[in-house]
Amino acid sequence: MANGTPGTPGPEAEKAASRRPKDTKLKQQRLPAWQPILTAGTVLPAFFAIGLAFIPLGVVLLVTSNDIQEYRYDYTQCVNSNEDKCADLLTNLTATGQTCTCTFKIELKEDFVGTVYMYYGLTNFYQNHRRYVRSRDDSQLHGYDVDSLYSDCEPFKTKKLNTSVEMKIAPCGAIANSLFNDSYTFVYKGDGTKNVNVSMLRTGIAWASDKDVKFGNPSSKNGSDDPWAGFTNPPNWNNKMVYQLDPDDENNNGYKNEDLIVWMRTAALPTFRKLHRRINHQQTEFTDGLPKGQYEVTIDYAYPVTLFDGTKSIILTTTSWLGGKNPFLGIAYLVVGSICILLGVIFLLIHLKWGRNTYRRQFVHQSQTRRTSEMINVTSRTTFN
Amino acid sequence: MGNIFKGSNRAGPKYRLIVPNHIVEEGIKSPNHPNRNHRSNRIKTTKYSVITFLPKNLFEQFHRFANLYFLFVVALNWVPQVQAFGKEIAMIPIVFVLTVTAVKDAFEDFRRYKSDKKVNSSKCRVFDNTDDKHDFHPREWCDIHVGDIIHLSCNDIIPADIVLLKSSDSQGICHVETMNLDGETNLKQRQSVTGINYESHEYKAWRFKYTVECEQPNAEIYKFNGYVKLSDVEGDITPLNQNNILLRGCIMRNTDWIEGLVVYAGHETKSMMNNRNPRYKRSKLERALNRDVIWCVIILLFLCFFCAAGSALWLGQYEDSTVVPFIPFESSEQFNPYFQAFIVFFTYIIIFQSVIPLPLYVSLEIIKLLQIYFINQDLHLYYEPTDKRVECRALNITEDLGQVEYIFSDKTGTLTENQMEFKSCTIGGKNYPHVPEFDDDIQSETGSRYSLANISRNSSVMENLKLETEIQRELSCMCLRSVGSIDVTVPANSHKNQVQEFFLLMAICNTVVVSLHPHEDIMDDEGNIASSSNSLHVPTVSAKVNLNQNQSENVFIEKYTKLADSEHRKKLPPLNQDGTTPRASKSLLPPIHHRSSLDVDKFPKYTQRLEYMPKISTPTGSVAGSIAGSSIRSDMSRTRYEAESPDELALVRAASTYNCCLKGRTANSVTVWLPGEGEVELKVLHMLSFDSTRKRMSVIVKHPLTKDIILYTKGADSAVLSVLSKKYREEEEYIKMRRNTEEHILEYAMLGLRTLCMAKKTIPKADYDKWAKAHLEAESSLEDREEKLLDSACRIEADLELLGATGIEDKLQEGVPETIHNLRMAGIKVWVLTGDKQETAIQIAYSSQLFNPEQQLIVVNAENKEATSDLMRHHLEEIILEEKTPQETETSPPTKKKEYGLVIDGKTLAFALEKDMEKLFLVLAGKCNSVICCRSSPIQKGLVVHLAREELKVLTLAIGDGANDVAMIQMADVGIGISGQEGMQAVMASDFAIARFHFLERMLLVHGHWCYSRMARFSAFMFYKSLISTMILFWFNLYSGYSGNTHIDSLFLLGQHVLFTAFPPIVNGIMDKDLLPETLLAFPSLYKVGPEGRTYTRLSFLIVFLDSVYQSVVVHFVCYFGYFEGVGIWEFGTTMMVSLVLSILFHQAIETYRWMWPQWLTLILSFVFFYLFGIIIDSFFMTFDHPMTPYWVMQNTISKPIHAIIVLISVVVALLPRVIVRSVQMTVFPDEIMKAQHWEKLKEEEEQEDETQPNSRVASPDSGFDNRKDSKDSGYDNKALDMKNDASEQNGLPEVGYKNGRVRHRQNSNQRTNENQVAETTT
Repeated sequence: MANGTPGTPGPEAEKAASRRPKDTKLKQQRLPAWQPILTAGTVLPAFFAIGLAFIPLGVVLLVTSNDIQEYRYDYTQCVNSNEDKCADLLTNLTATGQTCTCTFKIELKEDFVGTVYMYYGLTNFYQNHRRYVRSRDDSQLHGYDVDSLYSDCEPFKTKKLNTSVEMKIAPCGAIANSLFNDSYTFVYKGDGTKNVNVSMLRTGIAWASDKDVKFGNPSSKNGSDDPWAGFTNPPNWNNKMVYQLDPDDENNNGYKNEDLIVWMRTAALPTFRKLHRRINHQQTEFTDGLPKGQYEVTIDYAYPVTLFDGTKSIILTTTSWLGGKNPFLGIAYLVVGSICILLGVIFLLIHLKWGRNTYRRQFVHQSQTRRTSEMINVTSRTTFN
Repeated sequence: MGNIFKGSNRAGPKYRLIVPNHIVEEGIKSPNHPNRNHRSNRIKTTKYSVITFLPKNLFEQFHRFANLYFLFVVALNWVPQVQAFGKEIAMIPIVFVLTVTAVKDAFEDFRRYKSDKKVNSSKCRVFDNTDDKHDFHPREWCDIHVGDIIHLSCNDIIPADIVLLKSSDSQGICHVETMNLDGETNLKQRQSVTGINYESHEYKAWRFKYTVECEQPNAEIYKFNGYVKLSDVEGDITPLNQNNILLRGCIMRNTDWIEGLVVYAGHETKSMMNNRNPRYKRSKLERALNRDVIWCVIILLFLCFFCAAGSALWLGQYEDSTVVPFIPFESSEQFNPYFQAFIVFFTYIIIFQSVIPLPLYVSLEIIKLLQIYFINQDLHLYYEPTDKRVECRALNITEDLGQVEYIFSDKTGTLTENQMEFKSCTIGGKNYPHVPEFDDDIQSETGSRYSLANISRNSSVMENLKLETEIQRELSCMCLRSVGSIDVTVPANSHKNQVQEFFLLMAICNTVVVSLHPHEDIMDDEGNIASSSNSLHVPTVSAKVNLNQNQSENVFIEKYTKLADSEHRKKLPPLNQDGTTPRASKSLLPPIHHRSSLDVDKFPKYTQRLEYMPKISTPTGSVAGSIAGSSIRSDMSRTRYEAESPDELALVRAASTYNCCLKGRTANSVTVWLPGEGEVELKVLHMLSFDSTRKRMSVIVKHPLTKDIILYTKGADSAVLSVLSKKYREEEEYIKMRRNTEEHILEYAMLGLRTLCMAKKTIPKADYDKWAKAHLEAESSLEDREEKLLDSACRIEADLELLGATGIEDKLQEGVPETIHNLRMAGIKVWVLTGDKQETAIQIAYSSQLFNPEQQLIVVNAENKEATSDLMRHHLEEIILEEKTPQETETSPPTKKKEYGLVIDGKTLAFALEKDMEKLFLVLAGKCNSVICCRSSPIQKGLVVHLAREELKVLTLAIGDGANDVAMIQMADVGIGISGQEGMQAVMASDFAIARFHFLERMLLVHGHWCYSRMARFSAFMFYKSLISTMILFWFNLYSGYSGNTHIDSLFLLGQHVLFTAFPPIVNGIMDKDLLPETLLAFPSLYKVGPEGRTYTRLSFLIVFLDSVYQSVVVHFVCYFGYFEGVGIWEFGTTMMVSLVLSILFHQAIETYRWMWPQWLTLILSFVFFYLFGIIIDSFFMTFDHPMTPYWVMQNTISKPIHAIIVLISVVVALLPRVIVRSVQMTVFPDEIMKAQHWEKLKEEEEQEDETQPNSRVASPDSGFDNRKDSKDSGYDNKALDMKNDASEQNGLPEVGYKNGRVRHRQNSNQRTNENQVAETTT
């Protein structure tokens, strides 16, 4: 439009054709439409439908959740053979690198049928802290040959070995530095007569995508045979290098170590559990899962949690298609389903009382006697009150 | 002129030197060319070029606060300590918004560019000296340079500011229409430069070899100074003034051709320098949004403070940072909770940025743009006869159309056609009512014709006026002898004499310009001189003219043919209810109809612009049939009139019907054809033009025989009656005459006619000489010239002799009463502000349904301030008393609330608008449903609107068509211009331009309502969207140590606003309809939703806030408890994101009233897009998105059943309350909109049922709609009639038809006014 441009040839000169708008459904805003109205009458079937769908689903979820067997033992305050609390020892002895070993007995009240997993659980551990979450370098973990690490890895980006030598940390960042490093051995005691080591698998605990693609070990650098040359370990790793995480299994070592991978996938909430081991069900004793009875657990207590009022536990659990034992969703579905049924009933009552209500009848009455042309006129006088 | 000489002595830059290009050898571009420093005629109104676009556009965009804010947020994100998102990703939203806006700006600029290009490539003939032929050659406008001599034909648009050198007129006069410049439609005279001696020959372009000096370019369109240097001798010059200059953009009229020298070109022309940018208006809803955006800021700050404080407390519980593995600080100094709280505060600003809806404004703009597109496309708002659509000039106030509370309307040209018809006259106290006989046909015919001819007011449509036999007899031997009253045999005051003088006055006392023949140019487009022999033959000439007017004429051909069609159609059903006489009388007409249509077919191109006066009846014809039987005098058949106001045109036309015919007018003479005399030329001594203070105009002529000097005055009755000579108060005979005339005037006014009073006076020579001298002084005085001229005019306009008065009808536009009725039903208060007299105004008010008989009329007329105040107070008390009474008797059935109508005249209004009175006036006016202000000036109109807007705090709409409405249109929140008879000025000042008043109904009730409803729901939804996605982050931060972390992939988070959930609301904002147009029009009261702001209230934001808090809580905690312990942060976030997007989309679905394919499409595509986006993004290992590489997260998450289970329940639970509330409200407490929706649904169901039955009479809504559309060509009639019948049946309203019913109605309303006058108190 030449608005505000005097001197423009007038509109009559601009267009030879008529300016009549096109009579299309879109342009005239007359597209065919579906107009649902949310009334008690139209909504109540939906409520019943939701209710009828949710209640059985809730039952299934609840049953599934209840079928899962889970045993949890909080060993934060466990004691070593000297009856010293490892937690206390650890706070005092961190620097010395001494270890503390706890041994205690747990008892499974019933057989754990099926595949059994071992988790460790931490509380009050804010793996979702902003600085913590960012403190990693995915390129490094992917095995890229990185010259400089992300600055977010600070203060665990480089480590001064002495006054002159400063080396990059592999893997850098606070997440890797705080790698959970308690280790467990389980011995099956049965009713006290047996003494079978429960062998556990260290692999198959991380996402396949992480293991295959996201994490990868660096290839050898140009000239040097050792891809790890020039890197040092995170300060909290007690002289353990990243390539020493699982020396027995080439495919589970370095950045590809599944314990590391699992740890690096930070938890959403400060209370979390992470999958640690799978029970090796190849053993004759444990083909059907873990039998009930006593187990002796020996823990190399190395990870301090009392400093931040945290706790740590071991969790033995079976699993289902739904994941771990959690009755919440089942209950929630049951509750919501029942509420919907209830609402359906209430809406039915509302519908019966108001559904064909006075004003609607009023219109019906009017329209029964109407002629088309009169319709609008008659009703235009009718206020809606 | 003195200052020119002074000026020439001053320093150079004050003046520019222009040398005609043809006497300079080198090209314009060459460095030695004297005109090289002047700009060429190329115009460029674009803001950007390809290169400057980016920096300039960005610079402009960052002037917006919201954009600056988001820039700040993005900048914050670059601070490592504060950083929350990936640096690049954080820029996505702002980049998106900037891009969308930039694309929009670029598009608009491109349109400007195209329009520039069109203007620049218009052709014009320029004198070219390169070959020796000395010829004019067509050249594009942009290639015209200062110093060129150009040749223009009649109706050409002037391409640059030119000094008029030569006109086809022998006196060197040319006429221009300055409508494009100042909106005035009257023709202005320009004079070619005199005093140049073209080497003792007659003017030829190549003989003009003089240099011109003039002022530097400036914006003053009424000022121009300069001179032509005739020789090098100092002082040998010819001065130039504003009468010599033609300004760019004006249209040449009434002159065959002109030639002129370009002095200013392109951007240096006065019109370009006056070019103003359109105003930026802010709608009422947008103001409400801004208020709520502030709430958003408050929420943002609260959240940030809360989290920062939380952060400090949380950090404070750890005594030693170094041992806490999950709080990595580079140094222990940083581990200061308060310092960290400070840092994290800014991080939170980044994270919670989305609480301020960044895309809100840009989406609003997109929506409004498309809403405007659809309004523009509406066929119902398209006016066939003038080929006009709605023109939306303001882009950002569409929703204001749905919130209008007060309408201020002009009357003439807005409610009425502004197409005047002479209806009756009173001469010397004797009434000559011209009883209309075939009103019916005239209306349809002249109505359409006139509007067709509205481009210039060239019309001489023969009036089908029934001639008064008596007048004809009186006039039959009209001659100057009697007019001049020198014939001693005739008594000076004889009635016959008066009648003759009355018609002479009608013919000459005006500013009507006559052209005797169509304009022809001696030169064709190519600059060749046409051979003169052609011009003798009329049809050939016409063809030539058409050629000159290039393509523009094509439009008219088409238009005319269309019109002819519709005319035929209209004639078919005579809608008269008695239906007897019209047929019979019509039989007299066919010859004329036939002829005119023949004319049309033969010379279709003429009829548009150059409408001939087809025939003049001779006085010999006996009675009523004289028109049909009249012969056509050939010399007169070429006459056409160009008038400044339609009233004048009507008068001149009426006079010529009585054979008292204006034949020609020059600056100092006027030629008339008198029945008994033939052509007579009268010398015009003075023309005292009309002004709004005097409200009258006069012409002083010299009688050719007696040499008497006679003053003829016509004007508003009050203005003329007040200056009559003393004898009209003293002598019995004259008092009687005056009283009779006044009675008749009142009668006319009662009939809704516009009245004009005519008077004359013979001035003794001595008196005249004295006055003329004084007047000349006044004219030439420099100070207070206006006032002095006014005084001078008033001095001579005294002691007049009354001749009579005329009644001119201005027909109501079609559909006006229905429209006003419906607008009032819609709760809109309608005020009419008019310059007409009170009785006329009241009458129009009744016939246009502004007042109805149940309304009590309050008339406030007062002479002074105290009286005004007393009167208003008195009325107010009465109203309040009235209001109280029904409350006291509660047992009685609730009587209908009494309605009032207020009438106030201009004088009283002036008092009422004074500072201390305005409150009282507003309170009183506020109690009344409709108000009429009569005799109000343009400034008063503006003031009233201003007052209502500022004091009542209401949303005002002003509608008008003329320059006198501009103040009001600009003052109002929504200004609507009617593109009608009075030029473009109102349209230029308006926000929307419509062709007919009744379009307003659809504009407001349908489009306004839709726009408001859409925008209100859209805005609420945008806030909901922002709040819910922010709150999701907030809940998570309660569980992440207040560290400012996000659990949702930042790509999702930032993309959510601009990609995943952006389009469904926008589509709904453009297309969704809560109700069908038929329903909205049928129940105007549904409109009240808008003015009362019920869709977006102050509570809306709170509700939205609470709902989004609730929904976010549901989404967060279902996830929280559902996943329990064993979940990674990104899985957790992804599931939540899916829940969030689904909640938002389903929420949108609940809010959608009418599902059309765009809604389905965007809704489904949005979700699919989001899903695919997530999957695709997560399929690649990318490290740029620090801190997390979301590799395969989406796939891992959605492959687990628990994901679907969580999403399902959280979406259901989140939306449950809304569904419950909605459906319960819909069922149990429906508001009006909902009831109407029920009604629509019911209607639809019934129609479906009816369809199954054969021979059903009930039409579906669509077909009903179509029916109406089909009958559209026959005007508004069907609906109008329906409404009318109904109105009378239901409410006992009087029948207000346009046709025969009118007379009856008038009688009814007369009675009514009499009754109502009881309530009137006049001081």
